[in-house]
Amino acid sequence: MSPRAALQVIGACVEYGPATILRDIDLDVRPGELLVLVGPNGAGKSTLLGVLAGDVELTRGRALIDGEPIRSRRASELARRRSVLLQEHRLSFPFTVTEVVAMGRAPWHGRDESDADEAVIADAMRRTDVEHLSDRRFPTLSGGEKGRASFARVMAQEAPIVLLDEPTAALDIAHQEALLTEARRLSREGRAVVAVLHDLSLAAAYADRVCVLAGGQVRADGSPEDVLRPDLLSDVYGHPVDVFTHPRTGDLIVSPLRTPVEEVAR
Amino acid sequence: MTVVDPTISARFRVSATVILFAGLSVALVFLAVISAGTGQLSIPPAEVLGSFLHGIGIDAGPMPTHPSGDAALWSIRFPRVAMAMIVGAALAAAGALMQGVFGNPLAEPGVIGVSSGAAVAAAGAMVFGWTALGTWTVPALAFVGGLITTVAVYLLSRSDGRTEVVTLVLTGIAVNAVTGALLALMMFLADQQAREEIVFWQLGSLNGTRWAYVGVVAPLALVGVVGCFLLSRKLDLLALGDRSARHLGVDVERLRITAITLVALLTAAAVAFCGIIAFVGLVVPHLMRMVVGPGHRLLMPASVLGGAVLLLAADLVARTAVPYAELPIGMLTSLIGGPMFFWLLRRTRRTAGGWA
Repeated sequence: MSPRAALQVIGACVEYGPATILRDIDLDVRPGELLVLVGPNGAGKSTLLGVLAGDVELTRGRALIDGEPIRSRRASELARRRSVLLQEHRLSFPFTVTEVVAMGRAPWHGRDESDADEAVIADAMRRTDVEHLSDRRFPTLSGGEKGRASFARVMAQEAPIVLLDEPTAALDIAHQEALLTEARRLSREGRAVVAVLHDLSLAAAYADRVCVLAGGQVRADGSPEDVLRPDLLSDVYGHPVDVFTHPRTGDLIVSPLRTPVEEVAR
Repeated sequence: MTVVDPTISARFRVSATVILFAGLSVALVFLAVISAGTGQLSIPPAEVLGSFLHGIGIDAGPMPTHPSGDAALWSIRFPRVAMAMIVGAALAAAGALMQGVFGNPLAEPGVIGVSSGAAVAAAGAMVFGWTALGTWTVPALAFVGGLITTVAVYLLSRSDGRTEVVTLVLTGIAVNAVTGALLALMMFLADQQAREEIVFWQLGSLNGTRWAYVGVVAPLALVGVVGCFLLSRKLDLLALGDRSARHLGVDVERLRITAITLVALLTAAAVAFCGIIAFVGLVVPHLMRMVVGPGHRLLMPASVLGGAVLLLAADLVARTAVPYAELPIGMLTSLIGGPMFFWLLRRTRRTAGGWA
């Protein structure tokens, strides 16, 4: 029924000295699916994304890409299979936005695919709304603009697997929606897309599948309706959380329950 | 906070680049001819050109009228001019490469002690009279010394995939202190003649350049510069940080090892016979970056050309500023480069919002 997994994590453990970051993680990432990772701070989301990207070495278990160990693949090969958007958008030298987006084409240099470079770069910049910033130096951009330009670079890489670590951080509402719409479109093109998100309503709206991490373990993995339950979320986040459907659209809304100020004061 | 030309248009960048390369090429030829014709025996530019063309087998232009003019040009002036260009190019390329690998515009072989590391090993050859490899002994030792220092600086100054300005500068101070002490030890051990040799060579000079030296330095520099050109594309990606560069297909570890080896090679080529000439690798790539932008595919060739022009000009000044005396060229470049380093440091601090 489900197509073959693009990425597979089997019994994965990551330990840094005495600290266990990930414990016995089993996770499949499938083509055509937008998988969203959620969980409290320190749950291991970024580390898991690092495992999927092939950056993090496992203490135990396996991480496979197309059925082969990720870390046995050459960097240049991996670059044509998966693209990664990190949380930090650092740049040592003042390249322009267009130059940064063009860096996403590097894995295809010297191949037939590079004929499409210009068209792909222009398309990625249009879809992320950074065309008007094309000649700006990347370091002079605002946080959200940097995030979008970096996402454009990731899109330009045209990899079948797309890993996004908090892609909506620092973005305004309109750009958050636009970015996740693009992420979903990428999955509908048959790519496997994984995104770490903090906004659970966004996760509910765009995810095909939600994976809840807490304390380095998978607490739940399934459709947003199955996973985003008040009891589970309240437990995982250590804060009362309510889930209800929007009266008009029927979307799932996840909202923390807030204590009125007067009660806190007492 | 000041934002420098955020909307500099691509077309301006292209035309400025063309003008830069054309201008530097003209300046290089012009300075080479003037420099070769200048000295105790003055030779007009036309005769310099004529002598050069005849020397490479083209019968054109007038030969020098002075009876020993041709000989002076070919035995003293031309090798010196060639050496100035090669050393300048090597140092500038080494600087640009180092800045790319360290992700820091202040990295430079002289500033962080790679040059003096190479110098210590080379001084060893002078003091102990090692000649196992003939003319190649000093460059080989300089390479080993430079390699050890580059690796040491690299390991000491990097954390979390990048080098912070403070760490880099402080590491440079520490490394220069140690290499300075080792050089002092060499001088202590040396006899009168070797001691004088080391002192002058430490100040940097192109004086006494012979074709034999050029023959050693040129291939080293050529290999180094070609290596830099080949790494350009990957160095661009490295600006995104180690992880993102890896995600784009760069084997970061291999790139680093290759780059460190090339830095040591280029520094050794520069230091071997001419001593420590600091700040060329800092000033030139910085100026070139202002015109051609940070992309290494243009920055590298521009720096190579710019470095050659700068050192040729500096050598001309060193030879002519004071009549009947020759200033050490390393002193000159430090005199200009030191304040520039300070200015860059201030600027980096301001744009980074602290000593990041």
